[in-house]
Amino acid sequence: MQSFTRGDSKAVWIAVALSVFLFVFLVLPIGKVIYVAFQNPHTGELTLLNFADFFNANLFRQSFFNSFYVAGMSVLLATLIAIPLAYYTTRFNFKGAVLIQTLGFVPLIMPPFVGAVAMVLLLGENGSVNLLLDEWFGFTIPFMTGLNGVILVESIHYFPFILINLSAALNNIDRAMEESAQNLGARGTRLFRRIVFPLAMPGYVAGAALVFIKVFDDIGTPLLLNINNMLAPQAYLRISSIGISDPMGYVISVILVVFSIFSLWVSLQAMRGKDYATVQKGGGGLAKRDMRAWEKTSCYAIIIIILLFVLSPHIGLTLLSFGTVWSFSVLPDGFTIGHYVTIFESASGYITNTLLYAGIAATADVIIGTAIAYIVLRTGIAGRKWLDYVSTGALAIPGVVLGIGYLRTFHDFQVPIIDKPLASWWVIIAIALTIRRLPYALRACMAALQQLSVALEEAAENLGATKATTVRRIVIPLMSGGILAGFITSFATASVELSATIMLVSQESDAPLAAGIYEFMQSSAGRGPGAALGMIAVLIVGLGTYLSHHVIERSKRERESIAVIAEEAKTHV
Amino acid sequence: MSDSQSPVEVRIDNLSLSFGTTKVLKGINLVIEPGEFFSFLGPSGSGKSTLLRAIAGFGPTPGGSIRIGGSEVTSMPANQRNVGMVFQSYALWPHMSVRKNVAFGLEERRVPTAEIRQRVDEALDMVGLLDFAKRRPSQLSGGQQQRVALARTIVVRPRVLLLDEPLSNLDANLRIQMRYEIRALQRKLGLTTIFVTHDQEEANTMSDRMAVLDDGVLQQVGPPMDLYDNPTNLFVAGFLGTANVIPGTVDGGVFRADDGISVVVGEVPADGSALVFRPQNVVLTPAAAPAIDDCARLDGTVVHVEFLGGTIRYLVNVGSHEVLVDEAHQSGIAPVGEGEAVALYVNLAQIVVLVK
Repeated sequence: MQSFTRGDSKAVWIAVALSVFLFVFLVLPIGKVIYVAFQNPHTGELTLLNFADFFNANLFRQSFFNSFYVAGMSVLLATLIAIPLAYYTTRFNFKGAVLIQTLGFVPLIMPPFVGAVAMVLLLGENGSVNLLLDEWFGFTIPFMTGLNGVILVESIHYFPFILINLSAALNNIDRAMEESAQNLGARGTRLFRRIVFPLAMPGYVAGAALVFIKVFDDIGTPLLLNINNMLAPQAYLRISSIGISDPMGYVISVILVVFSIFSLWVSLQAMRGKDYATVQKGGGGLAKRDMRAWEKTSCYAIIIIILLFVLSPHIGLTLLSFGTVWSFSVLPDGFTIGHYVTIFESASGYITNTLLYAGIAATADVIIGTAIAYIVLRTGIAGRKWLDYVSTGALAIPGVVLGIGYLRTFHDFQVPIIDKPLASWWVIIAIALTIRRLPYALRACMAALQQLSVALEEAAENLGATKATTVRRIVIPLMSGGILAGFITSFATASVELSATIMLVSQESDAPLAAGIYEFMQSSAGRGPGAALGMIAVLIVGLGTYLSHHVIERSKRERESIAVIAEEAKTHV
Repeated sequence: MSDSQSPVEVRIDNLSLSFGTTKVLKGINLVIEPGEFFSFLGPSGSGKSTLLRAIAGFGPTPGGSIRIGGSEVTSMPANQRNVGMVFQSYALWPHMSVRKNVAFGLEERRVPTAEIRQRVDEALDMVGLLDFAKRRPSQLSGGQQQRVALARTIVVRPRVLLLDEPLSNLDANLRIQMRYEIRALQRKLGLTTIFVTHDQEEANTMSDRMAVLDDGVLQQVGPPMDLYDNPTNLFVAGFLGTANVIPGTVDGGVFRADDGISVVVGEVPADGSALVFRPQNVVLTPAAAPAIDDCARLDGTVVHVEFLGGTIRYLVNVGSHEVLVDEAHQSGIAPVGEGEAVALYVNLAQIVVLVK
């Protein structure tokens, strides 16, 4: 549909305001970070010296290697978890499919750092499992020792990205693809290698690239597991201990951004033009068959083992939040609700801060997201697509980098009336969360608007409504499902965001939930209350995820009848 | 709708429009008379919908001028034009009830609530859907949705009614019924109406006059039967039905086909370039049968005979041309056989000579 050329003047002003916002709070801070990384800290001239210093320092070389190693191994382990699960659901008539769907969902409702400490207590050197293993069999498994801990925690949290992408890719392969290969004589592993594997590959690579970058950028998990010699934690530690003038934090930031962009690029390349939606009419996924008895047994065994690992952070966190003392024992010495009482008495500030910040961020996200979606899809403003590109570009910016950028850019910007630097005013946390969650909210709004036929808006204008009235009475009500889902997702994920906020919390009273959990978990006395706070975080995210899923499903159903008519209209043109 | 205004004229002068570098409308000149039911007929991509949307104020601002009831609207925003448009997809708002949908335009015009209620009832009654006022559009059948879309448009008493392929989403029987309903409604309201369709039968049965469009150019304008009988170019001749075309030149008052046969067709313009006649206007006789008066005669051989049901269609080779002849089938009478030599007669009044 062609763009409108009439009545765009208000939209132009909104587009200008959005551009300014994105420039000040995304482009400028990141530009600053990159600039400082290439700047001689003493003379101010442009140089590669900082990068030379970085690679000459043993600690940084090791951090670089460790981050790579951890991210790579996490992808590998996540793949090993995801492949059997994807395989069972797509190739067999398997009654446990519900179990697998749960598996693909449960890890996503808890940010990895929240469960990290609890996993040490369950799986660590002196944790429940190893105590039992030692007692019964006389050996222990170093699940959580050193980098292993980070790899295990990250992979059981992020494998759903691979599972979801891989399952979708496998489900999209038409049975006829496989059957025609069989018809031409291919079978067994050769069939898998030449047909199924290449068709499923793009989905897998897209998922794997996402996992890689999530792990590469994660700051909370290594810090809580006391692993400091990785890139993201080093960036945080350099800035927080040495100060914002230390160039190493910026060098690391540039490296993180480069790898983020690279991974996103790989993920996009993998999907581009290879979106093998090969299912034809009357087709549908690969041929499924019933399982033999032994297959079923081993299938359940594997799923239960994976399930136990996946649930270990949740089990551990629950035990920890209700436990009294838990050290060198299989289970806590006793149980209490004391930690919950403690946090509601003394730490409720974290919760109210979180509701405030995440509320502001999610509201701003859906407003900005709706505005950008409308401008991009419904107006002819020159350069409008850049609003989309720049907002989506926030995906490639790790939270810690954004945090450092804000500190550097806004530390000498005094907010009038409040009379303190913008970088240490709580509002900057809400802004950081807004930018971080914007790509997701924007996609939800874009999808919602794309599903709306332009004729619905034209009909309103035809009956005398102005653009503004049309947006208010037609566009927004019909987008409400998508907007609400975007709001809830933004809210839920913003409430547990740690990486950007940890850099920007300047005083205890401004700290949100994630920072609170992090603070509590640092000391052994604080673990109980920290776990209780963690449970609240899980509750918020879990509820949010459920609600947004529910909202999306409902609005999908409501739209269906209308979509059918629109579809028919298309086929007649 | 007792106090409907008097119908207005739509005048389009030298209208052109491009999407990017693609010219979609190329200098359209057209006057649609007050109260007329007028159709834009053309294949997809001909520009007919674009022209309708330009009248409604959608799409890029065109060059040239559009005047409705004498007032210039070419660059007026869509929401100020007061032209009622019924969309192909109906564009009913799924989040509003039928009543809300129909009331929308009146609410935008700040009509008092009591009057809105009364006028919405009137409009719904007119399309026979008063009992469905509380339903959501998704709870209605396609035909009912179509009627709601009509009611929503006419309730605001637009100056002109624009219908963009409104019947294309209905099944065949309903489509025929809606033709009559729309036409009856239009007569009752006396509204100047423009109807876009790619279906010539729809255009023929409904229109007072119609315009045939192709490739962004107005090919011919007139009452449906006129266009069928007297097409002025090959496109119109072929688009409105099956036509026999024999290209050639006029030489000393005689039409000479491009394969050399001359056809006596009476007075022909010197720049004649083709003969056009309809298959059902051709009389097929055995070669030896007596001549028919006032007719042009063509000699040929039957190469193919098709039984179509009510009609028998002959394919006859005349020189290097193929001529189709449709003859009503009389039960029990065998058609002329393939390979037989025949004479074809076409009444001179039924032959159209196209000029260059």
